Amino acid sequence: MAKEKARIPRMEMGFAPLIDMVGNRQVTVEGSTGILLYESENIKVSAGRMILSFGGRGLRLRCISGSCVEISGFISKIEFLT
Amino acid sequence: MLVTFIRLLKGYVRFRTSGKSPERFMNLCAQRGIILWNAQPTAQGLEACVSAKDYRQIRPSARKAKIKTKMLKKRGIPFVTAKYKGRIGIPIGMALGIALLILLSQFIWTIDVVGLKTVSEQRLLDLLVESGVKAGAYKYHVDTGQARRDILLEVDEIGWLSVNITGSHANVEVKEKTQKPPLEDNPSPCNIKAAKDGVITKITAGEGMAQVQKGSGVAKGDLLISGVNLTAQNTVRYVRAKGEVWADIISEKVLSIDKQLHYNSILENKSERRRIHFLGAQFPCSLSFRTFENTAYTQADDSFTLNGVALPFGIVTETAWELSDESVTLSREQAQSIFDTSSLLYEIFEHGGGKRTGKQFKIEETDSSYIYRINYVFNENIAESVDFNVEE
Repeated sequence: MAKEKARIPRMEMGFAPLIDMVGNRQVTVEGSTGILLYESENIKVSAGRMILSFGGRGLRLRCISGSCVEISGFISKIEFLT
Repeated sequence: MLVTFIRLLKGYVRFRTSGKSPERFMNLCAQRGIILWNAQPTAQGLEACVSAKDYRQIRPSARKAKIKTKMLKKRGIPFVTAKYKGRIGIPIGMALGIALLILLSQFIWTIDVVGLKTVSEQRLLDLLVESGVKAGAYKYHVDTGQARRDILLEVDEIGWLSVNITGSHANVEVKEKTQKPPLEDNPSPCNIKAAKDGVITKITAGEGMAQVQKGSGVAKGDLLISGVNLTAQNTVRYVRAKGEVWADIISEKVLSIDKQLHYNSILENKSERRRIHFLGAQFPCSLSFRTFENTAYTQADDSFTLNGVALPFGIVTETAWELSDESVTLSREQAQSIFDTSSLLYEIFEHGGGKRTGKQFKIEETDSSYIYRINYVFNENIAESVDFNVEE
């Protein structure tokens, strides 16, 4: 069952963002469409139909480009807001 | 690391924004393809880095987001070069420096020889110079293969040699041959006879029959070991006699020295001439016209070194020292000291293979000289091979 889920093509996922995490210190979001809130305790990233909210401390944007955002810091919470 | 290097190469600016919506500013920049990095939120807005090229292009985004930007610092090569833009000497100096570096790297600067055991290093360096491998040689004209062949033909003791030029350094690796023991190739029979008069102290016959015993007195030319052997069948067999015959021999040596000894003494007066040597060429850098009637010359080569490697440039100092003729009347003790040194040299160089077992000396004094008579007893191998012919 898990294998079948893993094989779901990206088109069927509705252009959902791709999130890479390195522990709880670094997150890369591919497919972001903009920054909605930028504070050192909370960063909200718009990613198509959903909004990703990263909570923590000492958060900062390491790199921002057209469709990719890289966040570093101590991440303690991730929320998916619609 | 690579990204940081590329950013420094292209140049970047760190700036601060002040306004109500830094997020909108970041989104506008992202839409325009402007990449921001190391963004940090501050009380007024944010601080971030952008490439030098994109810094002008963030202004429309800033106006649209109603924020103000302020440059904090500029880093990277474009800003450094812009700082020295008006100084034409700097790029010319850099270009000349690079050209000089390229030019000098075309020549051999240093030569290092490793692996020598018995062959003289100076002899090998001289042969390398003859083959064109020398400090100051244009390295692309050096035929290392030919140099290797020439030296292998010239020096029998070398079994393998390699000349490797790395940068401006020539490394010569040498492996010497293992020498073959000398082979006895003379098939003719021989006797061993006495080379000097003496009293036998030890005899070791390898081949042949000993004709003398320990304690026998022998004269020069006496037969010591015979090459004619009698077999069990009472027939004669001719062999090449081998062996060592040690005997005490008496030797007399007479040394003499004039009482009035003349010699040259170096004085304090000197004249120095310096030359700069660079890649084999020498250029005078000081002149001296002072001359003396009698002169002794010394030459000192002070090459500059870097990490223990002598560089092909330095200063050669040639010093001319004034000599004076001195004369001294020797006392008996001074003459004795000179004679002791001379007799020691005589023992080492003329009787080096033997051992001195006795020495008696006497100093005689005449009107003009001292005479030193020494009677030695040396223990030496007096065996001497003498071939003989056998006819039927």
